Amino acid sequence: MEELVKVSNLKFNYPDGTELLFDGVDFVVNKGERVVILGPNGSGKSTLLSLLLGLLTASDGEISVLGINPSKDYEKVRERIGVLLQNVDLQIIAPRVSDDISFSPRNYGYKQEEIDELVDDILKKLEIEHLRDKVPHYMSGGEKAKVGIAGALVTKPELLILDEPFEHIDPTCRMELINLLNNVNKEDGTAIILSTHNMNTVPIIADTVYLIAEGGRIVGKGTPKEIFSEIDKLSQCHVEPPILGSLFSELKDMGIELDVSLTVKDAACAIASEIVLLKNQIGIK
Amino acid sequence: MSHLHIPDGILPGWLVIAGWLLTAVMLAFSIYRTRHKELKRKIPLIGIISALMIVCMTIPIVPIAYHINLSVIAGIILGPAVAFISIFIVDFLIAMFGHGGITVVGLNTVVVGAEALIGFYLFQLFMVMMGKDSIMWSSGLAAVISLILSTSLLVGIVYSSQLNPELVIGIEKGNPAGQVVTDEAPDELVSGVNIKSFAKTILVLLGIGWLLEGIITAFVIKYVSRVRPDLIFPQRT
Amino acid sequence: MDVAIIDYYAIHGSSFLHRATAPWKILFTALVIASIILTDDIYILLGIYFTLVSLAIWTKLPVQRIITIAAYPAIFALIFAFLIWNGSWTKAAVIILKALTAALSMVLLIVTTPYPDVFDVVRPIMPRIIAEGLIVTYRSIFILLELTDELIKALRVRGGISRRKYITNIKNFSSGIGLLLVKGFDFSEKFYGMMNVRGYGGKISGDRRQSFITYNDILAIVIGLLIFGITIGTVIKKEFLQLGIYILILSVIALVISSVIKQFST
Repeated sequence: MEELVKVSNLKFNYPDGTELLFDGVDFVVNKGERVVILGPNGSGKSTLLSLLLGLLTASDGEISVLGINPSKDYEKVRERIGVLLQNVDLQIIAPRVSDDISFSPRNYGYKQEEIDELVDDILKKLEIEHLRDKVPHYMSGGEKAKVGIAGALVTKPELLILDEPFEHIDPTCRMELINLLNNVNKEDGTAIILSTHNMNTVPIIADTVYLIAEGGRIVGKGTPKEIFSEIDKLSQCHVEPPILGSLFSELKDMGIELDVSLTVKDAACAIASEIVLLKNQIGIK
Repeated sequence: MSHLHIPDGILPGWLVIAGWLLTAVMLAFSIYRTRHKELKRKIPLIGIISALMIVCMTIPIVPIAYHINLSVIAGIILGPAVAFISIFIVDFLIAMFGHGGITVVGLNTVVVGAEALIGFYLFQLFMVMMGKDSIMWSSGLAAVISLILSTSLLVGIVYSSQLNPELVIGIEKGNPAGQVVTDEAPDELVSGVNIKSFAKTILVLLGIGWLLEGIITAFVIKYVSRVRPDLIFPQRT
Repeated sequence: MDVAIIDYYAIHGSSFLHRATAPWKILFTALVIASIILTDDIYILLGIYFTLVSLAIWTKLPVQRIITIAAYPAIFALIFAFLIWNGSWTKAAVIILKALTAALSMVLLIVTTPYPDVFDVVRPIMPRIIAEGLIVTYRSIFILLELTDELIKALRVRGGISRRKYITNIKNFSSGIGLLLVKGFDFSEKFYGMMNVRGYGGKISGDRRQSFITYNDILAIVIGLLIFGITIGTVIKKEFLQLGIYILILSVIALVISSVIKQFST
């Protein structure tokens, strides 16, 4: 599997002297992989993403994004990376939606016909053609998020980096965004790195989950099922486990050991199966 | 607040053109002075300071009469070159609201730009003379003095508007404006502005504004120096 | 100077002036301002003013609001007229009318034309730093307005602004501006970072798409040329100044007709 991103024992110093050390498990993202970063506030999730984008410079350790050190050579690879920030206002630069979506290809020197085609495609794909000539400050949070993601996807990047993309948008918009990201990953093979507090979205958007504790230490790596089974570790990191994870943990304490389910449907099936089994065992029809 | 609120069509053409020419030269110089800084670093800075100046202009500190300019603050924080570019953008944008004529944007930029320039250098001078602990006094005084000087420039512009350049070339001593003066009122141009009373009235009217802006500048710079001292002290263009 | 409301009108309007394209509207405004500069005749100036008010009615926007926005510069024109008073009421009236009329023509432009469209027209004649600076300033204004709103609310609910506590109010107000400045700088640094990440190389906005001249453009130009033509006629031939009163009457009739039509159509 081709490694797109690798972070190992990376150290970062804030201006006030606080230090973050991303040690423990190496942070690795492979081609086509969907990675979610979980952690409490102040653990360094956004800082890690900023380091990957070359917006911050580490003081020590190893960091590689598409084969380069991003703090030095980000410009060599930025065309292959799409970004969506938590505060999407920060990245909507141009005064109109169509101008903003075409911002990156225009500055990378694409021809006008190509730019027009790319913009038309992405507007259609995200179903936001009606926003083409709108100005950003009259758009809702969900619309801005879509415009931001359109700008990130327009050049068909190999890697997409999103910092808490599900904050400030309603559940319907959130599901639309998740479906879009999954489609982009499936159809174009785009690797995704995103940070979130929204635990319920993790099973549907992640292949791999990294758990970061306070201070930056990477304390867990695994599939969503594996990570959500480690309730104690999640608690230590002050990360609220998903409701289903807590449910299965409580059942385990009661002596009913079931494989952790990640979705309500799977959980309902697992619990129903167990009830039927118990009924059969004690002879209840 | 010495922004020229003179409408279009009042000042003579030659003066308006001179304002634009001077602004063009100063803009070219400012752009040249900031050439070492990346465009993408300058533009967000200019954008945010210009936006802040416009937003502050929408907040009247005394209803209708006074609003703060932030030109001296812009000068201190951005340096005179970048501040001048920012001020031109602000004057251009507010002229679109009819806030001062579009034709006098050149003159406005010269006057308000002069505030930023003088304010910056006076601030540096006072800090050297009075020490780093005097940041409030240095910035407040710099603001007041630069506003007095820029208002004087404004009075000078209004006085110049009465001059006929063709006649000035061929003038005689004792006839400074190329117009007829009478023996009874030697200070007054027969068909022009009584510049002394204009100057007196405007200095009184704007005096309160200078004081307010000076006080506000002092508190703002003090606040910024405590939270982001790097914005106040490094070398600026 | 209500930036937000002006921007809102420009983007959400649907009148013929809104549909006219920016370059022709700018030309119209230039013709009107040239007329204002050239003439010192009170009747001509009043005629232009009433014509512009008629156009304001046709924009289907709140006319009173537009006139109020455009009247703000008149306060300063009044002060200026008073300061240079030399006994002539006509001269004072001319100064105030020039201020009102010029302001109204600019406001009409800006309440019917989104800023980005105006910037697209002036961009080619400006240095890049100013052209791009205008766009980023425009974006930043709305972000700062939101921050300012929140700041004022916070000051009010936390007792930072109180009646009669003038010194405290000034101190807190100044701290508020300091806070806006610091937040603004943080924003600009992050904005710079994002411009870098997104590949900025000197072009924030796309090139303006060429569009054919429409009937709305023609109408705007015809009105502009009419105003300019009449004005220049009176400047060149002083005898035409006698017709000034008739021009004023015509413009008042146009204003009345526009008001009546608007009343019936709402």
